[in-house]
Amino acid sequence: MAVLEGVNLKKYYGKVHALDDVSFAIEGNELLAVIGPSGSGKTTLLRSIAGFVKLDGGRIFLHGEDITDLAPEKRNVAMFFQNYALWPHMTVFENIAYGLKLRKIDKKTIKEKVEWALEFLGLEGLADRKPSQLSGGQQQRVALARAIVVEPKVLLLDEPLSNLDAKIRLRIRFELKALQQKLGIPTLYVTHDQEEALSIADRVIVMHEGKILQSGTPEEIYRNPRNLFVADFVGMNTIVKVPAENGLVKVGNITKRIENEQKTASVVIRADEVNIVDATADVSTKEGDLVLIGVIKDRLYLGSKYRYEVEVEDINEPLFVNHEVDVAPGKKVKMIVPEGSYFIF
Amino acid sequence: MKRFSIWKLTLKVVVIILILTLMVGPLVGIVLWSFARRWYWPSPIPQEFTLRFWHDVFAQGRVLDSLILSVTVALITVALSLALSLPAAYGFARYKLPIERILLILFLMPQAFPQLPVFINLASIFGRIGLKGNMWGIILAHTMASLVFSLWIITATFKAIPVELEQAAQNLGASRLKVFWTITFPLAVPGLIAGSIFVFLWSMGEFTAAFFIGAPFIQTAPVLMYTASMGYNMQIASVISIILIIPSLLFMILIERYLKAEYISGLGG
Repeated sequence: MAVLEGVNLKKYYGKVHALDDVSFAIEGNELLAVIGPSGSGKTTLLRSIAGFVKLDGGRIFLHGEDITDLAPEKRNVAMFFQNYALWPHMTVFENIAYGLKLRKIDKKTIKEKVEWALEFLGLEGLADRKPSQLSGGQQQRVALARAIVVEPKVLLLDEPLSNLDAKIRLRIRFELKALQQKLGIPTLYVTHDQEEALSIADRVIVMHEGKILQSGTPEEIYRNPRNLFVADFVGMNTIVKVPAENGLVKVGNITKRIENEQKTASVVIRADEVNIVDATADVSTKEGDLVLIGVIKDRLYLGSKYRYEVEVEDINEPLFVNHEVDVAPGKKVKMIVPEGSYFIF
Repeated sequence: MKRFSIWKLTLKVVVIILILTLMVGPLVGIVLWSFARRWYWPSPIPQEFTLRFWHDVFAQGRVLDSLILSVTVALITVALSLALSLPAAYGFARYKLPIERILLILFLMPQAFPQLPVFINLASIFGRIGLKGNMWGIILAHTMASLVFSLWIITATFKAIPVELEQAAQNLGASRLKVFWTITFPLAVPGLIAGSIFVFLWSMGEFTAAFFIGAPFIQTAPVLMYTASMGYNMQIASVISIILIIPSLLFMILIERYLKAEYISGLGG
């Protein structure tokens, strides 16, 4: 049985469909990430599970029990708020102990549990501080401690890393993943950062305009995107439009049949996975690899690699690809995009 | 350029002098008057000083009685208007009430019209139901009239508390009531105190309602002061007005201390 299950969830704000028939399930102790741009409905989904959004349709089950109409305080799902929502008039200790006190646990046990949480999250010595005296990263961990200390059935994380500096964010990503595995609490993780989601989630749901477009493991989402939106949303991409005729798209050496009757097709290329060689070089390619010939127009130095603007034969738009080899502008090059690193829709 | 800056400086000085004269001038005048035996125009200070009027005021029990009455009325008014506006303000801040506008206008009524007709009317109504010449009549009138201030200030206070802070508590298992008393209320205390100060000071200084409703049996300090100054006893009126400032000053100092120590530090985040 799924730990947490949403069946045909619907929520409308006037004409906007924040949740348009959304179904999902969390199994075991997995970390399920919901990604999508802002306005995709991912936060509404999270808040409806916490009970702060009243659904217009559908049912939510927690360990098989229907919690759809349960008050937020009776759900035992702990939510982490994007802006932390720490109580400024309480100390760190009081913030973390709040949920335990409500559970009528004796003082000694509360103290032990709070101390465990403080140690678990590396907050030793900060128990008597007020939230305003903490750094952003410390506040984030206090908010996390407050949520996990009550041993919730499910942990709901709303953009937990978005208020942190970019460098700290990368480090905390690993910590968060390790922490979730150590605790074994099933977790729903909402973020707009696809890279973050791919790197820490066991499974990923991609949402757009209130609908689930695709769900699967990070690898499945990345390697087999079902449509243009998903392909574009995950990964670093360059997209060009090419003409289509009678359901046939021809780009470079590849001809692909597409189902729609569209006049143009989009080619999504993973910008980091393109191999650039001299146009005359004799490189062996596999069946299915996309080979494009073009001229380097411009380049940007990015540190570990260069970002190239390439003018490709028969394509009207410039292609932006990354490669570590230094190639001078004006040079004619051959670009080899392996199968699975480009998608035509 | 230079001429312009001199102009600006002159303007600044003039404005500051004007503000000082307007704010401090009357106070200085009152203090001087309270010690004056003779003070004729155009002398800037009294010709002769005396402590007689201070002595007179304290010798008569009347002044102290009316002062105690004023403070009692003000304190009960604060308590009542807080008790009434707390739930109403929370409702205004957190829920979209269809009757919000109507209610707000209703509360504005006593302040929206000239005080005189409103309170004379009220006095005649109170006269019929036995609330005239009665402390509770004044308290009732003050509570009604001050509700709009406390409601405004406290609604703004509740609106400034992010709803996530309440939701976080609810999410951890707190009932609505528990959330209010452990999260919302403590965070709103500075605003509640600000509202209380405002209502207290307003009630302490209110004249019209106190005069018409309190007559003929009881006199609050402002009414006594008015009567004294109407009797051309400028000195007695000045002494009373100085005494009238003291409880307000004490109230403000007390509350400011409490505010600083307990809350301002915690509300930085």
